[in-house]
Amino acid sequence: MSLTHRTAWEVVKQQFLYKLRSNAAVFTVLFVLQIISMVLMNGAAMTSEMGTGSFELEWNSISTDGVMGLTFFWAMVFGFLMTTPGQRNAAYLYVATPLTENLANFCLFGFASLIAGITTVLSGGFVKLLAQLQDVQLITETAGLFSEPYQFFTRVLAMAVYTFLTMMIVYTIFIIIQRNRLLILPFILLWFAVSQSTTPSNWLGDVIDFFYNEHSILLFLGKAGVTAVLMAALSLVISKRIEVKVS
Amino acid sequence: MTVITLNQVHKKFSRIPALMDVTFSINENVITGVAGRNGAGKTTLLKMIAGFQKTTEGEVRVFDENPFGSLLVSANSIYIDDAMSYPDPMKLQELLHEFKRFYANWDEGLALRLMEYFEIPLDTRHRFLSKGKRSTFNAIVGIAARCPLTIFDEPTTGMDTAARNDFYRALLKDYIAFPRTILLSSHYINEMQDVLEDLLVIHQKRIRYHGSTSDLQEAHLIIRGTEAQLRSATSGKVVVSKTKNGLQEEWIIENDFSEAERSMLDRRGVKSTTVTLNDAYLALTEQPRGGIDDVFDA
Repeated sequence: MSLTHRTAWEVVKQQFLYKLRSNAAVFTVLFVLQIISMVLMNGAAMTSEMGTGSFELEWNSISTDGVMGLTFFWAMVFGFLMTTPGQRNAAYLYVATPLTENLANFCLFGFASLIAGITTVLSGGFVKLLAQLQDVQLITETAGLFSEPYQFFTRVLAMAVYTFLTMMIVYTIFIIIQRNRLLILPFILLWFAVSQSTTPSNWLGDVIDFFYNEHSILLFLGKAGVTAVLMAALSLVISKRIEVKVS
Repeated sequence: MTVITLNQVHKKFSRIPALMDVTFSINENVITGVAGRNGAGKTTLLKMIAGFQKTTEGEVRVFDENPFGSLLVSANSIYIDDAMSYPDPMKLQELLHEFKRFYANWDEGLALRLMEYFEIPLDTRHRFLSKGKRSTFNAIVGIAARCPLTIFDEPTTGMDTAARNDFYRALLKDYIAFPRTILLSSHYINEMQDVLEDLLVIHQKRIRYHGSTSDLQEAHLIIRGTEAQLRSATSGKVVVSKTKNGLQEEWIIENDFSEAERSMLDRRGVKSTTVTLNDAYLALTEQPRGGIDDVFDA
């Protein structure tokens, strides 16, 4: 029987499609989370008041921060999920190597981030529509697709990139932990140090500012791209040493 | 052509040895049985060959490559065991469709005919099947994939006798039509002996025997008689195991008897017969039949 020679890219494509089918429920969870967030957000819009004597102004402020928050939470869970032994073993039911499995995961993260970016930005439009239906005077801060298409697509891109980075960072952290379970301790200590700190951590703020305060879209994409490549390289190097089907 | 070569391979989990000093090679298009008692190291060996686990020391070569992380090995081999866990949302027909996409030699028609024969519905999920049906589905995948290297690790776990017989028959028929290198691990030596050409016996983490099944059977002899008869007949011979049946005893001994010595056995009233493959395997793994009786007689 002659041997079959496959290229890594062929197998990555097949693994990507397979992972997409086998993880379809993850996307359903994203949509449900975003819908829940939108419904809750609309009911819990921040109400503000100001007045001087006979003049009184009351306004509701609605944003999609909640949708974004839940989307990032979903991205973290998804990033973790793809590092579990169950996911790895499922990939190795078919043709797979550490390289193809990781590349397929990165493709899946890219696709999922794009979907998350689109739905998160569209949720803003949905929230605006709900507000308009309530027959109130509406001041919209963010432009829509037709009035400012460049802004709209920039927002989609930025949200997708943030989601992708979240997935990649969490994925890399848990790949490191998969390699050696004891390495979970420094990450837990780091988490506690950041979350229990009463003053904002400067270095963490610096890291977030490094991306968030970047006004040039090209520089932002460059920074995010380099970070993603570093994460990908690190997770690839580590996962090449991880054995599968260890029971 | 040699498909699998292991050279002084050691494997440890933490500091516990799983395999020690394993050296052997397996040629193309041979069905080799991998046998050994529980914990002997069969599964570890098979997973190293499949490229799932790496060696601690020594070298494994499959299709002339290190299988750990090799795309060539992964694309040309399939590993079937009783712990295959498929993605929960996917139905069996979707899983089969994925196998078709991944494996170049996949025979969809055969897979569907076997699914129908074994009465496994396509529109159900793997976890909803009984243990025996799950194993049968896995076995169907292993046969229909027609990989140049096919590895079955305890494929018949949970199958009833009829299903096990059908599996071995299907495997043999497909192997005759499409020869490939097959590694088959099972505790049921008697059931798989008809399909095996070679046997690899692992005992206490080391290779105890690797060769043809017929050579192994010919290397041992069963002799029956009274204890006194057998003792005198086997002077200077290696006795592998002893079993007592009333006044009669049955010993398995290493067969280095000459023709004259065999004639002498007959004259002394000692009956000698060739061993079954299972007896030879038990002899190699020093599992004397009746040994459990000694536990209760102590």
